[in-house]
Amino acid sequence: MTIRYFLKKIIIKTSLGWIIALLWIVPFIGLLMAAIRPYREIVGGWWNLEPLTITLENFIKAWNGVQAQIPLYQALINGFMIAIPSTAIPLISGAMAAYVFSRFSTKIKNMLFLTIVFLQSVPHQLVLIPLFILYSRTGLLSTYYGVWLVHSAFALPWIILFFRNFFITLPKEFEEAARIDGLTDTQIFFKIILPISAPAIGSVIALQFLWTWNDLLFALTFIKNPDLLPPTVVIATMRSRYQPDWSLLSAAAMLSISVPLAIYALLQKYYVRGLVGGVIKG
Amino acid sequence: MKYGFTRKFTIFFLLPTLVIISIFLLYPMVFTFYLSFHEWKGAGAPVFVGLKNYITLTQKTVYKVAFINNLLWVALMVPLVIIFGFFLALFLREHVLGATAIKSAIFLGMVIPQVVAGIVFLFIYDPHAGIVNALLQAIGIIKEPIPWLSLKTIHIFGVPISMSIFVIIISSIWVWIGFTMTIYIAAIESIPHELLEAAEIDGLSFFQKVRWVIWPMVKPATTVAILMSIVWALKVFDILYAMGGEAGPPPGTDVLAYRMYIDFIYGKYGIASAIAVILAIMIFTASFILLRKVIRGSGAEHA
Repeated sequence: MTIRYFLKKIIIKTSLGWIIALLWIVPFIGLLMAAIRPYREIVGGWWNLEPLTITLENFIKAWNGVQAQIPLYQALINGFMIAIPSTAIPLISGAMAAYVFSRFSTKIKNMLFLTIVFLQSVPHQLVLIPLFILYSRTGLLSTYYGVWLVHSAFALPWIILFFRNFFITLPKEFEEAARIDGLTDTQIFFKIILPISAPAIGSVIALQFLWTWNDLLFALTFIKNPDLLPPTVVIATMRSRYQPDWSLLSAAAMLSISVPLAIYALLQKYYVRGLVGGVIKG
Repeated sequence: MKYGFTRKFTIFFLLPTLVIISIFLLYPMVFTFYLSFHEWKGAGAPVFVGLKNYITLTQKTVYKVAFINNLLWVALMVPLVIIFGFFLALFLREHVLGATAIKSAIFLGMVIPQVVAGIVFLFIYDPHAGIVNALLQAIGIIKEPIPWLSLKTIHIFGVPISMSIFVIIISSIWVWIGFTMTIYIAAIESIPHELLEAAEIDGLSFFQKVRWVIWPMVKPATTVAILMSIVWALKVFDILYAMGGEAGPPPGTDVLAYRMYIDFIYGKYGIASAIAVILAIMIFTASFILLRKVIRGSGAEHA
């Protein structure tokens, strides 16, 4: 029974697994097929392979922009302009705060920490209107500063919790030795704590970059200048303007997901660890 | 040797966080709460109207539709992502070649922007270019293509709800199941091997092992997964925005987050704030109940 039984088990389970994977990936195949073929060929269904013309035309059109639409390469640059500082600002300030919370606990610090952690569950809708008014009055509307800061505010609670959970697992001997050597607290943090926290930093970067890159609501609300929009908003606008030119839309969508897919492929380990770690401890 | 950080250090390290959170999170929260009791168009002084905005929410059909759709979303999506996420994690654990690739494929929905997921689903549900209709027609289940995103209206508690909401909820399962699956994979991996081996030695069947060993051991993960899924289902916006844009959702498929956004861009700040407050209360309640359960150690297995 044994070897045969095992082989049979492996074959059945593997094929079932791949059927599930296929089911999950079919929407992407559709997207890809629509993007690499002219619209007239896929209008009756992308699975009809007669005739099959493969073209980069849709990608070129999306990349360079059609009519009033901003070119997608510009949107991709904007996406980086938003996501990089929106990751860096809460990463640094969150790690600093988390370090303070992870050592020498006092009553005030604990209360502050719990309050900040609680703010994790605030829905984005709860800040939109006041910030929109504030930004309109202070000139922060349609600037990246406004978007960076609101992304940072929403990221800080989970980043602080995540780093604090990481810092409390670090052995204190390093810090004590460094203190005897005469390093200041600030030096200890930047020269000792941060370098050994590389895995945690990797997780925060992976998660926060993807979330800010994928964000729609904040960019939609706080950026009213079409030239500054990130891909998510550009694609949503294209949808209402050019539907059903599925080919153009699919090409734009493919271009915009290339960045998160690349980040995920590169930082997968950190991403999953961050997701699981943050969640299970949180 | 001194004990503790210097005061200067503590303040300097907490300052950026406190400034950012106060201005961009706390202040707007309080202001939204204040606005929800006022009528305001963005200029002049807000006019105090008491509970009027909240009463409007309970009376007008659009808001009732949004509320019921959010509840449907939670009631349908959460159990399904928990059950299927758990079984996927269990299933992909052993004897599947290429399990890592399969996991990545399922996880894709979590990696891409949800607005793209929304467009992907517009595409597959399209009456002409969509694969769902084509498949169903090929097997002979339906004769004419079905307009999945403008199905007929049914009445739930006397409120007109579009049947399309069920179709859209399915697409959100596609997006979110990667999350629950990942949580369960990690949780199952952290079960001590001895425990599973002992169960095998005791001659437990596969289902007994799942029921009496694995499922109880992953209870904390289940609690967290339920909580996160509820919060996600209450906040859902991007997928619907991809379908409706600035014009607003198709009739009968409204949700609170989308209705809040539409009211907000039309300058109805008071009522939009009231929706945001209600949404926040629902989310805080879910977080609070489940966090308390975690602390008490009584699981939340009645998904």
